[in-house]
Amino acid sequence: MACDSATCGSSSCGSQEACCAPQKKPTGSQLVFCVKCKEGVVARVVANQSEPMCLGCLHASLLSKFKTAINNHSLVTPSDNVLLAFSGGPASRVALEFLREIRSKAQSDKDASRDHRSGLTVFGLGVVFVNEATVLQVSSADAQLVEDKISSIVCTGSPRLETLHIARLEDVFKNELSQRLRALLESVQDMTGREDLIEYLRMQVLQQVAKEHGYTKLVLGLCTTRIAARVLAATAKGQGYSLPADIQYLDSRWPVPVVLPLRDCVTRELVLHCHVANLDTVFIRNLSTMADRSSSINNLAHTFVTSLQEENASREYTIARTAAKLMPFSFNYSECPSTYLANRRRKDLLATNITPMNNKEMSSSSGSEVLCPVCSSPLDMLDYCNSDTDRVSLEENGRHIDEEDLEYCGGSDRGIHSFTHQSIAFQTVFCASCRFQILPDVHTKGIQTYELLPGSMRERAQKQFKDKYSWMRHQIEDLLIEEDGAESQT
Amino acid sequence: MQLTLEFGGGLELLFGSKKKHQVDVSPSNGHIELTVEALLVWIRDNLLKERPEMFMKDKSVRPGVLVLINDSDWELCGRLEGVLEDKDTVTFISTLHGG
Repeated sequence: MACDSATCGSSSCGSQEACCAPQKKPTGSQLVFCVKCKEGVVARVVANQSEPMCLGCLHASLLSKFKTAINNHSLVTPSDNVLLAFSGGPASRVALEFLREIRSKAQSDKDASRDHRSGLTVFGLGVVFVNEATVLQVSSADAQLVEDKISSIVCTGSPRLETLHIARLEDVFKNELSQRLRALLESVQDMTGREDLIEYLRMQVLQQVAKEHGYTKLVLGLCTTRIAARVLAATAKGQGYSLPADIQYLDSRWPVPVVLPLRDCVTRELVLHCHVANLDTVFIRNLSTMADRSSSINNLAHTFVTSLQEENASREYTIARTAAKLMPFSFNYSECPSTYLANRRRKDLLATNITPMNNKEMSSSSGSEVLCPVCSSPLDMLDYCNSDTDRVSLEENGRHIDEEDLEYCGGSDRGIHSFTHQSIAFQTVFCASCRFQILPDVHTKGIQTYELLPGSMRERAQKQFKDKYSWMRHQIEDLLIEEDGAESQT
Repeated sequence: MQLTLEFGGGLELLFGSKKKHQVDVSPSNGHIELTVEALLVWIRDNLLKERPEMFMKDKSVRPGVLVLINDSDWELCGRLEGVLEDKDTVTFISTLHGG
């Protein structure tokens, strides 16, 4: 706001000298009007980077992005049973509200329709909350308080109440006490690794709940802001190869596919909408609450993106849009890739500027990427198959692991222990990031962390090692020398 | 003047875990009006229990903190230069826990 005084040279005078002209007052007589509806309604928020808007148009803008994402990518279909991962925060709160809105509309359409064919259905909706109180060693009374608050939000205000599932992070260990979760997290020295491991465990729990109760889609409240922070953090952690997998609308590498309908919304607008529409949220502490910004790479990336946003309101979109140019994986496409691509060309989506693979490549893509047993990120097959460590280990120590040992791979942990952990090659079944952050030296001192991991992750690691080892052995069996000194005949 | 200050999105942790504060703030000596900038200084000096860097950066709020004056975005009210009146409600919400 320019100052009238001749002595002030700047356009925004902060000197508060008496010479400055009085500024506009923030009352209802504000002269800025909504640029969207153009109905002379006073603007109350600034959204879409720089547009003054009324509350109705803010709601419409966010809902439109939500619905467009769902419709263009078939994220939720009428036959789906959708589970929303609700954290209590503004993004998932808005997701809950919008899912209720579109579901309610679909229900009224169905009720009003004279067509009584059984084909008309409305998608099912459930909500899950994962209580992570154990991570911060919160008392059980406080943990219960949080659950009560979550219940009161989800279980009121909707005519057709959704089922609320409350799970705990330690549920990832079947029937175990929370000591094991605490021991696992404490064994991870790297703070970023610890935060990331919590996220991977949380996804396991969400998938467990979704599968157990027959849900067909899992909705996360991941929005543009968090995707932008994730892009920067993943780049810093050396996860460049797998980065595209986590930031698309659809991710079906999981048993219950994960969808991100809020992918095009920014946190700022979601928080604003919650406040002005009186949508209750619950603030829950996590590891980075009140921590220094450099406590973890994730925190640093998020703080950085937030400060970039202050300088230029389009930064979050720019980062997310640039990352969207990376080729996604086969599991990021919906079930009918050719239909998906045809629809995309027709609608000329700007959100994801993917160069479509040709039909031959799409049809041969079986979707069977090799995934890291801990974080499920796709492994770069070139690195995976050509790791020098593996070759050295096999060729020089070819006889220390033979067919008999490989039989143990399917057996109990005791059978596996003596052989996998002595093998340097074992660590290559994990992605580089997990190796560095979570399981450094898994064949020596990292054993403790590995053994505390959930059974499902360890089983995946063992199976992958067996498969990889068999494959590699087959590749070099001409070079192996038989026990009796004779050359291999094959 | 009497103001209502509200803190959300985790900011309340810096203010004794109390979300709503009724305060009496006067413009500092020599000034006729109370601006948001002056209010921030007052909050830092009188209300903030710990970790000022979590709430403020230089003269403004830390990036990621939304400010609303009477439920209107402070971007529309001149940000730091917005003038406050008696009985106004100023809301500060942290967006750093996106959820």
